[in-house]
Parts: sequence; C-alpha cells; structure tokens
Amino acid sequence: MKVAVTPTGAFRRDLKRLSNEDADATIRALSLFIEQPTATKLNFELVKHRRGFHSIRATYSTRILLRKKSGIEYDAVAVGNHDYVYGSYFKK
Amino acid sequence: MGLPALKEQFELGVQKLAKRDWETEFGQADTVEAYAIVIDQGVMEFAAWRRDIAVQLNEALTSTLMESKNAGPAEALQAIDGVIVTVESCIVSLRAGVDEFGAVDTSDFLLSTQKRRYLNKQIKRGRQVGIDLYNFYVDAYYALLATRSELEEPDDEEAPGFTSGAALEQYLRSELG
Repeated sequence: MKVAVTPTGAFRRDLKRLSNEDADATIRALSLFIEQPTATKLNFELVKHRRGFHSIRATYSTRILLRKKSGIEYDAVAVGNHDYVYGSYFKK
Repeated sequence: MGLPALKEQFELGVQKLAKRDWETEFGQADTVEAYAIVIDQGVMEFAAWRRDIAVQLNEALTSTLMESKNAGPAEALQAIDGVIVTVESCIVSLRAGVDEFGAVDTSDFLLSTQKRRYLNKQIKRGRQVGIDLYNFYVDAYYALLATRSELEEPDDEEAPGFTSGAALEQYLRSELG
C-alpha cells in the first residue's frame, strides 16, 4: 500500500536548515514512506500527546513529523532533531 | 496551565531526576532486595509525574490553539518556541543521564550469580525510568512541534501532494537547489 505526502512550507523550510547529509536522509526517508509506509527502518510512531500526528525516522537523530489528513494522506509538517530511545539501546 | 508554567514543569522534571540521589540511595541499601525497593519508588514517582504533566501538556496545547484563534498566532508561536527550546535542553540532559546509567557494570561486585542476575534486573528497571522519561520528553517535543505547525499561517506557495517517492525526491531536491 502506498500513501500520499504533501511537503508543507514549514517542512521545506526545515529541510533547508539541515546539513546536506541530513537533508538527503530526510528526503530518502519520506520517499520510502510513500512507497513502503510500514518499512521497519522508518520507525513509524504515533505522537502520543498530539492526536493525528505521527513521526518517522530519517537518521538516528532526525525525525519527520507527519499530520494524517485521511487514511492514506499525510502532510510532512516539520523536521525534529531528536529520536526516541528504543529497547535495543543498551544491548549494543 | 499555560505554556510558561508548563515550561517550568519540564525543567522541574529533569531537576527531580537529577536530585534523586540514586548512588546514595543504593549505598544505603545494604541488600539487593533493598535496591529493588529504591527502584520501585522511582518507577512509581516518575510514572505519576508523567501522568500529571501529560494532562497539563494536553490542556496547555489545546488552550493555546483556542486562544490563538482570537488573539492571532504571533504570541502563541513565541510562547511555544520558548517551551520547545527548554524541552530540547532537557532532552540533552536526560540523554546524558541515561547514557551514564547505562555504564553501570556489576561484574566486580561480590555477589552470587543469582543475586547478580537480580541486581542487573533492577539496574535495567532503573535505566528504564530514565528512558521512559526521556521518551516522554521527546514525545512532548514532537507534540509541541505539531501544535506549532497548526499555529503557522498556511503556505503562500502550496506544494503538490505526491504518491510517487521518486517524484517527491525530484521535487524536494530541486527545492534545495
């Protein structure tokens, strides 16, 4: 199943503020999200404290914030520079 | 509770964890079982704190959005940016704390295998208190960014929606120049 993504102006502004490496990873992650929204490496997460928003991982310190418009439609609204700590963190 | 008060609460949460003198508490715990009690107290204390702040965060974000409808978004954006900066700084401190806790090594402790296993389990639970708090702050950070995005004016130049990853990549790369 594919999804539709609209990159908002705020997202595009955030993208321009990133390093070339992080911007590249962000674009690739968003592109992968369209093609395979359930890809494990994206760590698709619900933002628990704001209904209707999700985030996906672009790099180990960058996540893309998504607003769900309908079942398969999302707006990319911002890029954040923090990631969650997962269960495997201390197993390294 | 408004955003300025919420900002203070986030700062207090990190101070609360820092003030919790695990080392002294562990030092006073002369049995492995007493360690477990110290951890139990931490688990309960921070779970309750997170529940309280989650309610306050939800109320503050909802009232900020409501108030901005009448007063305009400028003041709300400024206030929310202030909280985001604070939460980001808290996240950095918490990450350092979690990493430090992760460095505890019990292999030199004179304990039976069974007791060591039990102690390691308690340390893992202790780390989880820090991780849960850290993840809570990260989620709050994204909730704040989400609310910020709702306050911002609509785009002057609306981007198209994409159903092809390749087309999106091409569009965004051309935007970057």
